[in-house]
Amino acid sequence: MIKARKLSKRFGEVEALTNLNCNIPQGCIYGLVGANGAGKSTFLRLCNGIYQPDEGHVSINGGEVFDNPAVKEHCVFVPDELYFLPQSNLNRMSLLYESMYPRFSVERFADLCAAFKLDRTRLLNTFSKGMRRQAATILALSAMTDYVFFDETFDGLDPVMRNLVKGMLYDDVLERGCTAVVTSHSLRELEDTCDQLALLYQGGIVFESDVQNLKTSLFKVQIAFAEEYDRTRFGDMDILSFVKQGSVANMIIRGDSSKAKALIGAMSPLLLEILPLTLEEVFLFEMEVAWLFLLKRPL
Amino acid sequence: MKPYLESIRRLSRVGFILLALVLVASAFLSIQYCVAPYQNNVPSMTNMFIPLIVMVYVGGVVFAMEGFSFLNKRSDSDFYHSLPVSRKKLFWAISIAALTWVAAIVLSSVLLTVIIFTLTKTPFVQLYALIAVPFYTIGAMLVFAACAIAMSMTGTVLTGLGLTVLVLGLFRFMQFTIARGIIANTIIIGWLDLPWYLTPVTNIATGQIAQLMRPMLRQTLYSPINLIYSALLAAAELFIAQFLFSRRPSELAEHGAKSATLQTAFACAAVIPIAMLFASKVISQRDISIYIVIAVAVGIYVIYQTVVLRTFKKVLFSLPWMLIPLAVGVAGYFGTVGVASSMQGFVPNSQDVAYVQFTGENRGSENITYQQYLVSKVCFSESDVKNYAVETLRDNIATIRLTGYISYGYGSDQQAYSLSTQPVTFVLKDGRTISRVLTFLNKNTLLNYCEENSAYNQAIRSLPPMDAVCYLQGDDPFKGEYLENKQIFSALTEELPVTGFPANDSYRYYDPAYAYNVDEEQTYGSLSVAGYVGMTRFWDYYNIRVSMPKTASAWMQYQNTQSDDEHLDLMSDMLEKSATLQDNMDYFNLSIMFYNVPMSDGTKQAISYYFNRSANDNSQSLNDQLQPLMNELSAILVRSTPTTNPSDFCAYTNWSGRVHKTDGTFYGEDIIAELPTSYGDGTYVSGGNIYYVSNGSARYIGPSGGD
Repeated sequence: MIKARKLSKRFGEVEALTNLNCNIPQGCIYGLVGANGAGKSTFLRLCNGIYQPDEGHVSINGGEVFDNPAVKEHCVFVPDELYFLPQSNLNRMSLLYESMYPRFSVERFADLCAAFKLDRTRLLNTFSKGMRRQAATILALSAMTDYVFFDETFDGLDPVMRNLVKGMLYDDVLERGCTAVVTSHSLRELEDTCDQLALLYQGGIVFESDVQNLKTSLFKVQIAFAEEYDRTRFGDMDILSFVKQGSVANMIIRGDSSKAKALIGAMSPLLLEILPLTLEEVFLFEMEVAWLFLLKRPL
Repeated sequence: MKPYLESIRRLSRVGFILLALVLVASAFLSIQYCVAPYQNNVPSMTNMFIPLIVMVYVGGVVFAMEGFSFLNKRSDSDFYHSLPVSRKKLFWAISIAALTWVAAIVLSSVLLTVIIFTLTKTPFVQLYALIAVPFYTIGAMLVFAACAIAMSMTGTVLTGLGLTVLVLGLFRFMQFTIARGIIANTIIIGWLDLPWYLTPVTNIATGQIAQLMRPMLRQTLYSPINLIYSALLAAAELFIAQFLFSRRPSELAEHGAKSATLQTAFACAAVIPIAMLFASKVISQRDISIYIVIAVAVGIYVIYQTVVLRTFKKVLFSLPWMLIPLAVGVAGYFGTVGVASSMQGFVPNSQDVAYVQFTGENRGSENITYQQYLVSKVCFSESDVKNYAVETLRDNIATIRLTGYISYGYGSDQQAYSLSTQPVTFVLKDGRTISRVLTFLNKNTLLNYCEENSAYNQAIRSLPPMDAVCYLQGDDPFKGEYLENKQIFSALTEELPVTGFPANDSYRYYDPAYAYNVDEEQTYGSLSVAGYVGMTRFWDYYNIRVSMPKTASAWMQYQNTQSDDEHLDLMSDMLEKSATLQDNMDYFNLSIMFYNVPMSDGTKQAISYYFNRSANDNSQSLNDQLQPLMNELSAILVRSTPTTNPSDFCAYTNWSGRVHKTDGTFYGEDIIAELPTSYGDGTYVSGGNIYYVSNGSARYIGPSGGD
């Protein structure tokens, strides 16, 4: 399990992460979403012991990560900006990984190279950007670590390769109980892949939730009544958004959709329709709420 | 082990390139040295291993830059710091891999050099080969450690290199300037008299540069204490580098320094060497140069800060910090003057002196004599010597304080002093050692006192053992031109003790009325002897006088063997023709030394005579009058027979020239063999000229062959 408590990291005058708390359970695919500069990459670097926290701490399986090889040998990181040895090929890079990761599997490396159809003897600097990303993924997955961190890795892969990587990741999670932490700008990408999602905003996790819960926690209600009505008619319901045009209103509600349906149905509406939200819509509404919360927070 | 092997692999690219370059350079320079036709001395360590001096700097920087290159790029730095290996282990894996490569390259180069020298039978100091491997390896690791410290503190190549220079050179430059200031202020302290910690070759990496500026420092550069100190320093610097590396924020990559404060500290450090010039006495503290130095210091500081801080306001606010390096410079100046005054004024009581040593007046030279080597080891505990040295020290100091320098004119009897300047080491009974360069008023008094010491007497009359000798008269021993000279040296060894004179003339008493060309003092020539004892190389020359008849006879025998009647005929023809030289470049020089000329006072003397003609002769009429006489003299020489009796009335000729025949060809071009373009003692004869030695054999013909 990855635990972060009051994790803070500054770069000069820029606060990249501020008092971040989160728990990432073992054996899941954890997605981190956020705008540019939200702190996603910083968080991954802290998780991999690349950065030392200014305050707070991050631990994996109970051990501090920074400069702790015993913990780090369970983690592999595929950054956004990749590194390969100069004038090297995949075979040379596999030697580097093999010398560093005790559970590096040469067999798996060979299998993955074959699956991705990458020439192991070709110089990596002659690879395309996507192929280099595949190469980095192959090396990371061959390290056979318990934790894999992908920083916007999927964004650079074509759909076929993306599905291939995802498939391998699922296998690792299911067969080896591996944990994957994936960051992306694309919610749609993570929606299909992740078990849990967290939203990073201005250096802090605004919320984190199980994807399934997240999808069902918010829903859209389209409603119309014969008589005049407003938001107050729905009493204690957790309405995040209420927009009325004529007699028809659109509401975003947090909670149990079946209970809400029953409750509103009892009010004899002319029109009642419950619609699911896309994950993107859920995030937009959640961020809006978070933003309002932050604005109201005393300085 | 795996990270180490991985680092070895990672450094292999630059490792193999450097190995190839160093081996090619070593092979080329060694072969060039060994096949050179004229050698007269055993090579110095610097001469033998020039590529390794470059390797110390290039190798140290290149391996550090390659090994820690990931620190300068964000993505690379992130990758290495994400690996499951502790920073400490990663650092040592890279450093030990670099050490392995450096040692392998140095060892390969030394082995190759030794093989080439051995195969070509070129003499060399064998201990050099043993010491070269740790010496150059440690030197390179000192540079590596400095670069590792720099790279752990910065995040760009440029700042890394700049800081490397500071880490490596700042303290050493301060040491150098203080040492220079002490030498300039004390006058009686030389570079080899400084306390060990002030000698600028304690660090064998920067010592390489210091020895280029002050060649006498080579005498101490290779000492074991410097080697041990440098090894410990390299280890300490590596530990500091590892400490910094372990705490280095990964995000420092691509940034000059962690903070503006550190940037300012770097700027101040960069200015210190300029400010320290005050201490060195290189510049006068009174004239305008003091303002120039301050202006240059401020200029460099402002430029550096403008580049890194980027705003004028920040630069302006950081300006007060510049007072720190200027204060260091001022403190350095006053500190140096104070220390120099204290060192200069120290005079031990002679009863506190355990013994004194004389390291030799040309101790800083590459070519010390064998006798000097022996004398430098003699401990003089005789009270006469100690008292004379202490009194001289006191007198020298008084003179300096009175006049500002060592100045002696005439003694009370209006006779000129027979001054002798000697470096003297006082070893006190409490274990302290001080060294001063003293000017003794009377050389003979000093020699007289020294002769109270039996070890000294033996030392100055010793000749090097044959197994220590590598060159006799400059001939390469492996070219088979050695045996005659060996006979001369054997005769010298046999006869020298009979004469009672010191082997080297520098240990003879000064005699203002000395006649070097009379009777037994007549000198037929001198035998140069070069070799080594342990790690000390010596180069002597011994005058061959009539007083050593067997030696002189062997010498004459050797010269005669080398002579050729054909050459003497040639000389005669050229002399005759020199009366009518046509070509503006033509000339003819003849020198004749007559030995055992009976004089009216009953002595036999050596008398020389020179006759020179050229196409643009300034003394045409006089030479025209002398020409018939010279022709007659030449005819006598041609008719005469060689002798090996040094007591005979005889002549010894030495001639050179460039003379056209009437058909446009040159005299001698058909009989003179082609020889190299450089004459071993440094004489260079320009193209087309022909140079002869005394025996008449050709030593050189121009590059155009028969020209």
